[in-house]
Amino acid sequence: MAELRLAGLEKRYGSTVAVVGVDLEVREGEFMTLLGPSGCGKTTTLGLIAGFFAPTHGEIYVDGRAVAGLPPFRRDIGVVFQDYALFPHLTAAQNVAFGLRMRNLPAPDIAARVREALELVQLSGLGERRPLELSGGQRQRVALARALVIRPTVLLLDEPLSNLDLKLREEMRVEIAALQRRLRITTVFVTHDQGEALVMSDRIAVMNAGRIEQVGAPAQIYERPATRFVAEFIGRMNFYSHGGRLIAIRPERAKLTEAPADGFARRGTVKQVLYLGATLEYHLELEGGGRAIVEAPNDGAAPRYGAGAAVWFSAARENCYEIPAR
Amino acid sequence: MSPWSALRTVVIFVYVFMLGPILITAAVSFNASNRSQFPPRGFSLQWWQRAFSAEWLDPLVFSFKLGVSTALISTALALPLAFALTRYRFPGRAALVALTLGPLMLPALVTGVGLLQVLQYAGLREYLGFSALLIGHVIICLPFAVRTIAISLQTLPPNLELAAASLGASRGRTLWHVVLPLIKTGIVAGALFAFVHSFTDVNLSLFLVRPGEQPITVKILGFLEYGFAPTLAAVSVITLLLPLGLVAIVERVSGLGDFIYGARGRG
Repeated sequence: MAELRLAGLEKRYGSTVAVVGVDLEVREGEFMTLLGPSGCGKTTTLGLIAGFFAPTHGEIYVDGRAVAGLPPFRRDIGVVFQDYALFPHLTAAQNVAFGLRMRNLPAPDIAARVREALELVQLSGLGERRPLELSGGQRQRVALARALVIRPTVLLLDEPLSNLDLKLREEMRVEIAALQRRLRITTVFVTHDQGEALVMSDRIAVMNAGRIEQVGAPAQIYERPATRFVAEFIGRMNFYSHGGRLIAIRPERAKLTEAPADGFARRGTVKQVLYLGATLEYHLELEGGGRAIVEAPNDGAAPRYGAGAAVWFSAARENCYEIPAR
Repeated sequence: MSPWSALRTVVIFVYVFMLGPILITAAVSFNASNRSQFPPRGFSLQWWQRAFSAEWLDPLVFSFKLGVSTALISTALALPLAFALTRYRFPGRAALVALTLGPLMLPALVTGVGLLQVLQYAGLREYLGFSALLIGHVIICLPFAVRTIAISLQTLPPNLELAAASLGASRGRTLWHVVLPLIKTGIVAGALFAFVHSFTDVNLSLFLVRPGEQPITVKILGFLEYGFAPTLAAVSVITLLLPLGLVAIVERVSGLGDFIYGARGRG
């Protein structure tokens, strides 16, 4: 357990900038997610923390100690890869034991800790299997056990759920988050999946084009996005210019009304209604141009409208959020 | 004709043309007379007895030693070469590729003549025989070893070495504990190809021998000038079976077929 600090981190490949000016503090025991579209620099940042390549500028501190100059094998940082990267010639138990063998621990200690780690990820009894004889979810657990057993200062997870099917992915989300909280291990999780990020993280750092756009708790990121990019990348958002200011309204915070609300209101026409079961989704065309989406709960109370209905697109003042000018 | 019966016909023809001459040669070696007749007249083991005399055993052993040395040296050189060529982009890489794989395109005959001339101009004629043969064989066998090792390096899953590093393995220990075990079959296959290529070569060897230091192939060629005797048939069969036997043993031990035919999932 340790705190991790990235200071002015930058990585260039020739003239291409992969990551620039990344400052980030991950508190002890915190679950920090780097969220962004592919190519935003999140995996590069992870590689820099792990030491797989050196930063062009900047420094990385683990518990105040500068580690950017250290090779990966001297960093004590556990990594779980997207493809798990299990050693195919070794059994599950030998995979987990690998890091301990590299630390030249005595054999009985290794055996005990491997057993413990396999138990932790609920794989007791499968230690003698080779990676090819394990399912995707089991491989994922072996990879997790292998990274945790060395008691790393920081745990890095590189899109570890993206190769699992939907049901398993949702199970593992909860499981990994629970395990992380139990062990209180400082964790950096990389994903492009906003749902994963919102469910699992203590805080989220949203990245775009090599920079961090915003760092904050999930609710803060969702409800108080600092930039238009963050607002658009996480969930959906209606945007309106209003007196030179950029107003953002979440579809589930807006309403269709007969009369304009005290706050934000525009007259519009319902173009399409999508029935989603728990919610209804209205797509509107607004008077004077512009579109809007409204997500209405299917709670039996809200009035329903059909395509072609003339309505007011309304949002209470507290549900209109102004994106700060940069 | 269905595709399967067509395939079967082709396979039968391949076997007939490949195995036929070998079986005929083998049969000839049991002739009772000293004429190479087929079908053999009578039965005797006298030609086999002669085949196992020093006259033939010496070049056979020589070829074996040469082949093993060639395989070991080629593999030892091929390993770092394959690493450099698959992992790194560096100035002169194209030249290195050409130098390593070039001999594959060049007739071994040309390489042999060239090497002979170089040795002559350099005043190193006394190295003709085993030393010169070894150098020549390494040159022509290296491409086989580099290719097979490079292929197994390229099929290595990408993140394994990073995973090993993150778990505390230095470069050397990653190589020893992760990379080498996983490319083992590629290395063995490369060494085996090098051995077989060396053992069966005659084009290059022809120019680099000296009395008493010649491989079995050159010896057979020389003997052919006096006609094809049943002894030669027996020697040919031995020369054929030796590398075949070696391939069979290695195949058994290391699952080489998996490597050549691309089956995954074996260490």
